[in-house]
Amino acid sequence: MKEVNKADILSEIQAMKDAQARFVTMTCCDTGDAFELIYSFDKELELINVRTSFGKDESAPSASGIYSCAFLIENEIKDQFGLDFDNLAPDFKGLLLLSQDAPPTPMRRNNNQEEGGKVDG
Amino acid sequence: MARTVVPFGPQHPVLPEPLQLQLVLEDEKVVDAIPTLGYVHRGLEKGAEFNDFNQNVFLVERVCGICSIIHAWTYSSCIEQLLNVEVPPRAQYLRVVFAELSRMHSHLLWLGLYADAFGLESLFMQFWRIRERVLDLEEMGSGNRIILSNCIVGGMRRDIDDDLRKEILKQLEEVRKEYLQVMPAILNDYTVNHRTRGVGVLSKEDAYDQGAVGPVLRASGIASDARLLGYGPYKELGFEPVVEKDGDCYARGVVRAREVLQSMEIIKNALEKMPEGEIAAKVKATAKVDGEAFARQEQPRGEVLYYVRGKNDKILDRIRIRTPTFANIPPLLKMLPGCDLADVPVIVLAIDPCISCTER
Repeated sequence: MKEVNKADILSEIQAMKDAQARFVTMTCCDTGDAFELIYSFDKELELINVRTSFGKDESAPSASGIYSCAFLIENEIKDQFGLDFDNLAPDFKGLLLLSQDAPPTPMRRNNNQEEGGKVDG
Repeated sequence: MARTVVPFGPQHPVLPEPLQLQLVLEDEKVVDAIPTLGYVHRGLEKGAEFNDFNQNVFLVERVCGICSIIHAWTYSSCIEQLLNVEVPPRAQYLRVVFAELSRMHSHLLWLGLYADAFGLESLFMQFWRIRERVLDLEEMGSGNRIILSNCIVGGMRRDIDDDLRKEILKQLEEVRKEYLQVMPAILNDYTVNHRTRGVGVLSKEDAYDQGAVGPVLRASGIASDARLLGYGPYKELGFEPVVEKDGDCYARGVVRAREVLQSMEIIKNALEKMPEGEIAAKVKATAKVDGEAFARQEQPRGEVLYYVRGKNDKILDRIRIRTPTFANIPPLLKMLPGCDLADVPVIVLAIDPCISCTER
């Protein structure tokens, strides 16, 4: 997996677009003190993954200006993790999958939430 | 011209599951469509953080209402990569048999719904009658009709013995004969042709640009199918993707209709070439999963992607599931502007939307 600096992520995505790679998805992982974002692309059946990370108080640049289809997964990440994307369009404001009365950012790990379960045996 | 916003769904005769599209109209023409999701979001990715890696097989089977085995297989292949488990060849062939049976019944379900969308109720019942026979085969082989619970980490639970193999081959031949009687009825029907040809066109460039997958992508002339990736014994079975060029709703229907026949051939070949041997490798229930893995496979609706990250424990740190309908929503939003309001149900149905997959 290719690791890139967060400042270079948009140019990396643009390079994928120029190389005519298909946007597959993005994966967000909460590592405790940061959000890891893995961008996945398909180029002639080869899966290309690019990883970067953002601090929990930072926002990420939106890939929707390059791959318009990225808006859906970026809105989901905003819903589930509370990671903001700059210039996200359309922006569902954290309500793509969640309703207004649902607990916000269920996948975000912090001191108030359980971080995965334990199984006996 | 004044614009009107008309809600399409969440309850609509062509939608088996709830999805809302807010259609922005100028007169009868759609100029924009905004999706509203979240009616069946269950938080399954979060739920997966509370189970051990074996229990998650049964959780991921419930991501979708009808493609259970392929979810289980894709997830299991991530765990097998991380635990360095060698899956026995016979288990891989068994997985192909059930995955293709699953594709057949999913496409037959869709063909029935497609017929129903045009008011062809008798044809709808014929497709679903044939689908029942496929479900019976799944039940004979796994004990279950839809949620098969047959695939486990390391292999399969149940084998197909010689009697069952012969029975499946015999039944498949009958299914084939019945299917060939009704398939031309929908593809050659005047109304269906009139309502679907040239409707909801997605160009090759747009399909790729919008990240389309599965029959939506292949109907736009792109020979992309995750079964070409080399997982399972598809290469040995001579798999070639079904491709159409027109990129309209009719082409999407033709891709699925042809894939039903193709799946029958794959199952027959797999049953004939299936090697003898074990059906599952032993995997310790207390094994600790570490590292990260991706797996992609072809579901009836298109490519599904799993990302699994372990934390040196039997409970996983993260499971990410990108389902095919999630990828096909942006292409749908590209198809809708410019179409007539009356064509919206057909265009939405033509991507074969699965909302429980999309929202997880």
